[in-house]
Amino acid sequence: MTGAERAAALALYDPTADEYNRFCEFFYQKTGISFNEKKGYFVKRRLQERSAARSAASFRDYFSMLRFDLNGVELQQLVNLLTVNETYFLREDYQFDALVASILPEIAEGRARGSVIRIWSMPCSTGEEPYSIAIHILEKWRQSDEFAIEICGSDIDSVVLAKAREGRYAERSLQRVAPPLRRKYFRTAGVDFQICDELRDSIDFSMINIVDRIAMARMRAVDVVFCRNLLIYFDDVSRREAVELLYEAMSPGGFVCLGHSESMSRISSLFRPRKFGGTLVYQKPHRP
Amino acid sequence: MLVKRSASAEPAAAFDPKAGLRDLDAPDPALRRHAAQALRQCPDALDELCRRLAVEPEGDVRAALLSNLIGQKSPGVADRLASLFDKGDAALRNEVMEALWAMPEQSIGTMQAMVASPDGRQRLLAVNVLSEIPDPRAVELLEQVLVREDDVNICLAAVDGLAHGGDFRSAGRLAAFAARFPDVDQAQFVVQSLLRSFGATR
Repeated sequence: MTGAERAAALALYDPTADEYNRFCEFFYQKTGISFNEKKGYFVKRRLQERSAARSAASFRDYFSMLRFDLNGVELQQLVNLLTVNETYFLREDYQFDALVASILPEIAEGRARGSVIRIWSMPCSTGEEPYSIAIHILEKWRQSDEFAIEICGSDIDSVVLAKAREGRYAERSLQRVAPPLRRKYFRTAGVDFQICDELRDSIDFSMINIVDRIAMARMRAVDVVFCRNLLIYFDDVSRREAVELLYEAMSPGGFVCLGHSESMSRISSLFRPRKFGGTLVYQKPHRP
Repeated sequence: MLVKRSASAEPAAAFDPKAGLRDLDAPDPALRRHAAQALRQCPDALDELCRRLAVEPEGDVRAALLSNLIGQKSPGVADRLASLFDKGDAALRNEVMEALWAMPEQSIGTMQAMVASPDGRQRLLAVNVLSEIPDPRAVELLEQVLVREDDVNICLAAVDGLAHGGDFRSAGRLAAFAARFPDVDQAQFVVQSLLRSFGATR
């Protein structure tokens, strides 16, 4: 099929404005993710593709299929298509520097040797962030052997989680990883790089939607959360809800790291800003 | 030492709404907060959530209660929230106001009733809420304040809200407000300044 023929075929599934609005409301209710007008083309295109893939008679037919899909498989397919997963190793690593230089030492202070320190990467996408955190801790935190460090990675997208668990990456993902670290933590796998088993087997990956209260209840006593470039996809109400649930999941005194363009103070006053060097993070207060 | 978390598959504890309602008054603020979180999607709990909100001393518990209420937004929730304006301190008033801003569609009816209240404090609060609602109905209510309200301070709050949003639809109503208070210098000054700026930009 030529590109033009394909486009014409997909046009059969073009939702009307009303259908599109109803889809956006449905998707928001299920995931907390809202789409602005700029995303309209991208979202409609993905909807057309899924309508065609499911051999629906029309978009209305597909939407009906989606709403009454009791096991949620089709919704998950859409979530996987509509979320952005671009990342790489050591992205915004100034926050990892703050983690090992200031945040972890502060958490460790007064905590018994051997006790658990829990770090959560949410969303973890294809795993680069939680693996980067692990590498940074092993390389740069002298006390890393004194504590049981649990690193968890969660995402709403089941496909990226499978890739994270597999731990196989293209050269592009490793562009910021120096050769000595590549040799130490990766082995070559054809043209790709495979994360070493020690790291792969030590990180727990799980599928969680940050605005799903029941799923979020599985995470408790988290000391540090990396929640970067996720809240930007939510509207004010969902953002507030997500921050509430994060707060609930965290230990008193725990820290949240957001993306460089995000600010907690615009969302909630629950957390206190803390500055470590040039890095701004947010701390859940200890109760008096 | 890195260790793999083994408990991620542990299921969330089953939630008992009755226990949740009881925990809203627990001595431990963490339990109260958890109850406020867990009682989401429980429309039967709205009155209890608002009752607790009026007396809750901990900011993070209040935040959870308010998030729950915002999540269940409706005209009824807006009514209940507005009724708390009389019950708490300035912090609670501000938090309630922010919650009403987070549900603008649902708040307008409540604010329409409040601007007609015989209580000037209620009318002032309503004007403050309406000032941050980006909706033509809110603009209309604020402009009605300019021509009907007897308290010049409330009128000035409405002018402030309208100017803040750049939402004046009628310079005539602004002039009518100034004409109703010819002896109030501040009203004359504000209106003249705004009318001049309209002349400059329109």
